[in-house]
Amino acid sequence: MKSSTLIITVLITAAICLAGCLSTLSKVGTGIAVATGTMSAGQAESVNKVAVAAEKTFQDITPEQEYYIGRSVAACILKQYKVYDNKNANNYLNVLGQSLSAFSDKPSTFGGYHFIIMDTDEINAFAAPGGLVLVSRGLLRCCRNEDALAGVLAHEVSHVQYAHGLKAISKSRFTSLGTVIGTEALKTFGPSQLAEVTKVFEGTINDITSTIVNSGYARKFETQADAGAVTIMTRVGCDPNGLKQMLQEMEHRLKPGGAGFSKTHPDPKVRIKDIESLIKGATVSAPLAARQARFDKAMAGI
Amino acid sequence: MTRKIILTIAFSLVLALSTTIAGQKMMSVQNKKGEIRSSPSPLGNVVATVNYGDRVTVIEEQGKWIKVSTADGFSTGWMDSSALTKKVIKMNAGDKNAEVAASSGEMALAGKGFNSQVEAEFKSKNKDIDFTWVDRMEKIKITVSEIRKFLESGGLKAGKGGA
Repeated sequence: MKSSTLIITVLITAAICLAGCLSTLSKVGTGIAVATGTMSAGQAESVNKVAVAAEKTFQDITPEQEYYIGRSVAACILKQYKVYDNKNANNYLNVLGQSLSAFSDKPSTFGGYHFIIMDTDEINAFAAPGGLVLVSRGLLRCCRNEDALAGVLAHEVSHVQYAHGLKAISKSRFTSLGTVIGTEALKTFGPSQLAEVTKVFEGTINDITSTIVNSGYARKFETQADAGAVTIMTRVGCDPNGLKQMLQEMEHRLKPGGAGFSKTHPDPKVRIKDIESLIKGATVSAPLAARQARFDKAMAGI
Repeated sequence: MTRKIILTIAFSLVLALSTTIAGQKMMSVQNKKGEIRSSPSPLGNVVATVNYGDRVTVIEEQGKWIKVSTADGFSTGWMDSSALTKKVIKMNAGDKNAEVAASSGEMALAGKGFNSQVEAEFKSKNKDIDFTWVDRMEKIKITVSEIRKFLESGGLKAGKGGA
């Protein structure tokens, strides 16, 4: 073999080998952290190993798709509940809410976190996937201070960061979507394909909306959201006892068998019991009169 | 002559791939807008913004924060890892290569599946569902300095760099 031929062979072999390495490297860690955005690469890897099949479904939901799902879920909820159009109150809710979401495990989403008040006496709150959070006036009335409200908002942010909404989607939707679009790289759908995909989209929106409005999440998701709320509040310096006080107030106000939280959430007493050990010994910032003043001012009309 | 050309091509190929592996770890912005901050904190000043699909070079990782530089090299700073993906995001899908790469899981296609076209179709089928407030909600912008001021004036420890 001539030396030049040998060099060519060696170089080409090296190129093929490196290409192989590159492919392997880029595959490592391209797990569900991408889909849910809630886990570290290490956690995502371990989850990948134990639940490959279930994982695949969530891997298919990009943050962009989560954003479109969340927008329609929020729009469907706002068909049932009017918005409380008070600029000061809604602005305060967003400053507090975004101060909390910034310190969550998922500080950013495709379209960001946004908060709004629903004009209803019902005690209720919803977190649409991607970070659109809706809180009722009835629930705000259960909050006597900023820490209590922080408890409500941090709980909803936790539902977003753990992608609980997306987990309410029936697995069959993913199968249907996969059948329609497959690995299709086209960005624009043809008419029949669009009709099919929209049908799957409607089903997806319905799965999530009916879960959060009617049936409620599984108790383990609510417990996880309360624990997540305590973590976020502690990071920011809010007193997690605020969440407990809010739940105590809610217990007084909730009507058994009524709408809202009484049918979708565990009994406040149960939730309080679950968070007791978590809030013990939390280091919090000293309460300032300035915080109570700004809370009272923003919530004056509630 | 032909040998020389083949040799040059093969050599360039090795060089290109080696550079990618050894030096540059790249990631893509997976949110509509990505903010690059002066420090690894949600309260760090925003020094630059990047767009969906933009590629950034990873310099350093610190927990959930990744130090990156933009493709043009002009901006360097920290991004939270939830804004980034290891996948290449193909903005203008349509060619065969994109299809192959997408099915291998190394690439995400912007606009695949549920997208603005699907939302538009959903709206036209459900005219009673109003998106006005959803759009208004998204327009509510709170800046980093507003959050910092809010935390500081409330005496909250996150505002004192304690988080």
